Amino acid sequence: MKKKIRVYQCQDTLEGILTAVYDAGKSRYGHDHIRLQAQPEGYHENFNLFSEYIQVEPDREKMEKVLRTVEEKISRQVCQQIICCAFCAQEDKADVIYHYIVCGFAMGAKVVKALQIPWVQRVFEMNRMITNEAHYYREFIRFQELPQDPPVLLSVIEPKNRILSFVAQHFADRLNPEWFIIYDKAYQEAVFHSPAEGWYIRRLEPEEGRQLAAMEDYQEEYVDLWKTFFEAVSIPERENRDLQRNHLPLHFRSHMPEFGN
Amino acid sequence: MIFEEHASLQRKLQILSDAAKYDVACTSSGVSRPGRKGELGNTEASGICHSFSGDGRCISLLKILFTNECIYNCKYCINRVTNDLPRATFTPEEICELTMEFYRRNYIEGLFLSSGIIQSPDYTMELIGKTLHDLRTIHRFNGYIHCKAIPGASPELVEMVGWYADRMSVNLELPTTQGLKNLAPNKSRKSILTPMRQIQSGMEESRKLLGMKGGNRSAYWHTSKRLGRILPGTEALSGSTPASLEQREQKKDMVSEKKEEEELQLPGKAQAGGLTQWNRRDTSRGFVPAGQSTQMIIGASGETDYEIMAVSEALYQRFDLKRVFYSGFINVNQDASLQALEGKPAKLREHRLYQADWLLRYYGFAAEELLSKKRPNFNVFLDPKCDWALGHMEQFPVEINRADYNMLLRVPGIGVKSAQRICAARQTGPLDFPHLKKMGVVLKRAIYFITCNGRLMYDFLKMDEDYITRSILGEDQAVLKNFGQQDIQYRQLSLFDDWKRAEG
Repeated sequence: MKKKIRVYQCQDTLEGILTAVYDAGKSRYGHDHIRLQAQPEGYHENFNLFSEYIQVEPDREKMEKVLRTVEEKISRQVCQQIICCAFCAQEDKADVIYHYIVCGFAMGAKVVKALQIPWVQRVFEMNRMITNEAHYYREFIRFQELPQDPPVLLSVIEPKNRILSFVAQHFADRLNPEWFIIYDKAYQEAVFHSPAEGWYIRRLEPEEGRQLAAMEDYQEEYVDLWKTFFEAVSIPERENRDLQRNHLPLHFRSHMPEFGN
Repeated sequence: MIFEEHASLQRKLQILSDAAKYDVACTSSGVSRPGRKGELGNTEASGICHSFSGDGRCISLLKILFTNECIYNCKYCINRVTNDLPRATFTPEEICELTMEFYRRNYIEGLFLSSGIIQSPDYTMELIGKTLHDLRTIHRFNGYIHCKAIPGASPELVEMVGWYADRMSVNLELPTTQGLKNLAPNKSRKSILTPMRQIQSGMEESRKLLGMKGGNRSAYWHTSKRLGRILPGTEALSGSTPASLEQREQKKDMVSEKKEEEELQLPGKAQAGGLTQWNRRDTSRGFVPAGQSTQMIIGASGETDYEIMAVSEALYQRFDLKRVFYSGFINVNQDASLQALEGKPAKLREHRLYQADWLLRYYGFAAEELLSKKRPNFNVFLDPKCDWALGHMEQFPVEINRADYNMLLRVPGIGVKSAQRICAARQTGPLDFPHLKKMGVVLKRAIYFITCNGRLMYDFLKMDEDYITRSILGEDQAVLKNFGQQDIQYRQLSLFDDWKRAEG
């Protein structure tokens, strides 16, 4: 008789996913019959008739065990890739992470190269998604100065993946003498930075998010100067809006003052 | 002429960024320098584009001229002395303010400062130097600065600027000496190459004594090293190969090119004199750590693609440049002595030159492999790599699971990254066509030139130059249908006929 598929359902966080990985691995049920599903809060999945479902409660200790074992038995790079995947907005990520770790235990550190294996391909793709989007935001994040003492720089973004932790260090290094906030509207979290204390990321209450979003207006003197420059530096004889759109997709533009009216 | 001496900052910015827009050597790459406590900014080796203007070009740096007043009369240049247009000049303080405030808001990656010539090259260079000095020391700016060296300025001033800038560039302006003589009467090849040589030897000296300071070597240097080629004028990288000897033999009968190369050979280090300001300048960034670049105008003086590529190659080899930029000529002055153009810049030609430039720097091609005296221009319908492969069918097909890295790089549709991924992945097991697709290989190009485990992708593919040319130009729809490439635009038959004629 065919063995039933067993589905581990977990919270959509690094902690939740890796706890599920731990439980699934310990169960010795057989990798081919195990699926993992990460579920955002308040999400209801259509259940499959012939599968068995197991709810997993996140457990910090289990997460740390998995990360430590992966780093020791496979490699640090694999460990980083897994963390990266967990921040990606892809439905199959928990399943991919689980099977990637299974492959890693079989092959060792060279698993990162083995792009013939579908699981490795997916990890590679998700890592590329995250690093590409993080790079876009290093380019296209715009700050405006809030007239306070000391002045605070504010930026609002709406990324597809949860990339805030991948851009925070870049701006903390670059703008180290500044106070700044980067508010991620899509995932309701924000980076706070001050010159003396460095940076941290915190989840926001809905009210805090509304307040930050309301402050975004781009009414500064330097916005006008920037728009002037932006228009003047373009060569009319070479106008090419398609090329511009390829490099700078429209969905980024809502928070970029040079494209506002 | 309208001098706008008391113009607002906004008006000045408008005039002076408008005047700088034709400059194309505007990248922010080449040096990775972490932030410093209390200083604004850092730099990334890959460079960062912060926006894209309406022409699709990247905006990375605050690209401005110090002034658009100019005593010279270069025929191609919008800012030449005989043109009647609004003129303005920044003060160093204004430039610092704009740079700092734009940088804080993440609008830009740093400053790109060029200038028209006011009074004399020395006077202009001094103003640029003063601006950079203020920006680095008073405003404590640690971001990227790209700055022009003015031909004819004294070596002391060029050196001073080099200690503040990350990248410097001297514009070659035109690919040939004759072109320069005709179109830029106030400039000479020698006055352009002298500061270029000075910066090159200064960089070498700085690297020897201070280390790389976060800067990297050029792609051309790395490629030459990988292939074991010797760069003239630099130390031997490793043993000579028969290939390079053969190339030198070939060169003997290329008279015009030889002449061009002699032009690019300047009296070397003796004249440069070395760095002299170690004690007076902040050496913590090194001297021009991100290297130097140049640009030339394409299509204003009637040179062939072959001449242009030979000049680029010589610049990479002898002057250790990071990049050469090609700027399709726009006849802004409607000057009668310049080639009449239909208002549109030669974008496709420019594109082909950039493609070939990449082949030189990353793929290990030599200019003579791509073009020859008999065939001095690139094929408009095919990219240079594909064109080369079609002319060398005896080297194909290439077996993906065995071919060495350098040969993989020569396959159309395989780039640097996918070649690296292939080499890594095949250590863990054999590869097949679907895997390649996932790795980023452009299969619709590559299928004609590769086998996996001894098999072509489709049995009906023929290793025949005409057949492949026709297929790639979109005639053979069977191949493309198999890939579900509905978005391909099929060209008309007549186009292919045109191409045949151009070849013959």
